Amino acid sequence: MRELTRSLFSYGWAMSMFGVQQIVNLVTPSKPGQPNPAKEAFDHVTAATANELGDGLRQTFHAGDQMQKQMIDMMFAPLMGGCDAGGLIRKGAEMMNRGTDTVRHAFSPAGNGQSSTGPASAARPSGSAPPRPSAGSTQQPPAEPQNQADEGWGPMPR
Amino acid sequence: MPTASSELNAALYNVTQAIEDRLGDLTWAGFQVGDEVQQGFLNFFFDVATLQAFRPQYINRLGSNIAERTTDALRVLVPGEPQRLAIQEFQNNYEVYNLVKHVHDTLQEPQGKFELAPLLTRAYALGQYPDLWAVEGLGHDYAAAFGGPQQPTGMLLEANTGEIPVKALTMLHAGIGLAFAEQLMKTITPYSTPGEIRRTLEKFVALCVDNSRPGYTGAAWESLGLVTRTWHSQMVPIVDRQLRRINEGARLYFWHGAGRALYFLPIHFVPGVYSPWLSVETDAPDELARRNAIAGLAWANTIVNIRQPAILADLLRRRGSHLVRDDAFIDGVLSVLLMAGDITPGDLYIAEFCRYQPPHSVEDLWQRTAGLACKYVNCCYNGNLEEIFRYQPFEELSAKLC
Repeated sequence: MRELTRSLFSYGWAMSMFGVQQIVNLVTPSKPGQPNPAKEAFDHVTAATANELGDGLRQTFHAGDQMQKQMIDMMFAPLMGGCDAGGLIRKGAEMMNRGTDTVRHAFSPAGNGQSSTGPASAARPSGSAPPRPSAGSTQQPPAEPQNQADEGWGPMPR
Repeated sequence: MPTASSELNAALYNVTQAIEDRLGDLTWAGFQVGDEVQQGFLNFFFDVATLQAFRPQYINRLGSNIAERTTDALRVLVPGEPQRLAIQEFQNNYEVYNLVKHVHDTLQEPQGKFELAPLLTRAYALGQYPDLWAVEGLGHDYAAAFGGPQQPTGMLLEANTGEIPVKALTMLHAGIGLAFAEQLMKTITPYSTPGEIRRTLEKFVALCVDNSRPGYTGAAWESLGLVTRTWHSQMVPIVDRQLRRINEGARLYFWHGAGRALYFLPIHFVPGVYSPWLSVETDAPDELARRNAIAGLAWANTIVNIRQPAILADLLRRRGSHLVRDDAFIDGVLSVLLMAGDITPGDLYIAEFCRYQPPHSVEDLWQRTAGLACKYVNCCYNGNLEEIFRYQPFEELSAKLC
């Protein structure tokens, strides 16, 4: 109980500081030719969160994510001068189909939305997140100079 | 068999780590400080709820901790010489952090693999004191750039490095250890299976052996403690337990590094909240680990503030009676002097440090610690230099000096 409460509090506080960091990233001009660090950070954390979901929930997440991305594209299309009535209707129909699939999938007995505590994740080794290579993998620790440089030394000499 | 609770803990841990990866320097420091404080409150809440907080031993410890923290807070908040020294100490720490973090830009390192020798020349051109930290950062970047499909071997052997100054080897080894630890510690969590954790640590131990010159492996092992205590503090007891089985020698270096990490944690720069000298007493699971952690903390404290011996004198004024209880503190101070003598023979700051006249009130404590260490400052060390990255009983250490 103590451990779970501590984890929850740590997560909550990390999320708060993440919000502050992304505000800083949004107002900081990105380097030419590089994506905004806020986008990259959001994608990284979203991927890490999605990897903690069970198979069913992860599929639901991806379907919902696609749907809302299309909605955003549709909202921005008129502003970007790409307004095309036929295209909008087609996208709307696609979204409806996706929405129906998502709901059907979420409530079907084979693919119901299970959390990472459910059987969907039981095949994973305890505590291991898919994006983190397992200790037994053949990953070479110093083999990613580019990533190293991106991550830097963090907040103190590392 | 993982329980639902441990699965949930693991998921939260992984997402929190992913978030931490994307924090900047200041927000990470804010996270670390806030997290330590809220964990402290939560622990206290649970201790009250489980009635542990009402034990006389607990109340005594809590009382003395509060008293010590209040003294520390007053030192920083009340104007005067101690406040000036506290600010100076903070500035030194920040300078070291910048020197290591920005070594890539400072030395204009090329992308990808690079030759060590010309960059070492640039590092030493920075002058005494910055060179030390630049060389450690360079070692880290060198290992990080040493890519390839095969597990690296012989990274710091002469065949790969070419001719480089021997004086750079200690900090270069510390640097490659940082890079290995950083990469490998990301692959395990407190909820990984014991087998996964053991294999990862065995890999770390082997990587350091395979890539170090004989007599320097310990300097690389020591960095595991720095990385674990700073970015994966929940893993500290788990790594300790596993290293006990894998390699007891590496475990001692690990605790030295963990002590060094305590000095750099942002939480310890918030007056009155925590003190590294309190944490170091509670973190270690046994006496040998405690002495190594104290030696590591003394090492960091001395070397970061070597240009202002008054900071060490102020520490002795506040905590001297605790620090001279055993020889761990003096081991850390002497190690710095020996290492600095090896890295920059005739170091200007070491000479000034040893000429320092402490205030009368701490003269005795100074003579029993820094003054004693200074008696050996011009001695050569007849052992492997890796040994100064762990605690050694004073008699044993001084016997190796000629």
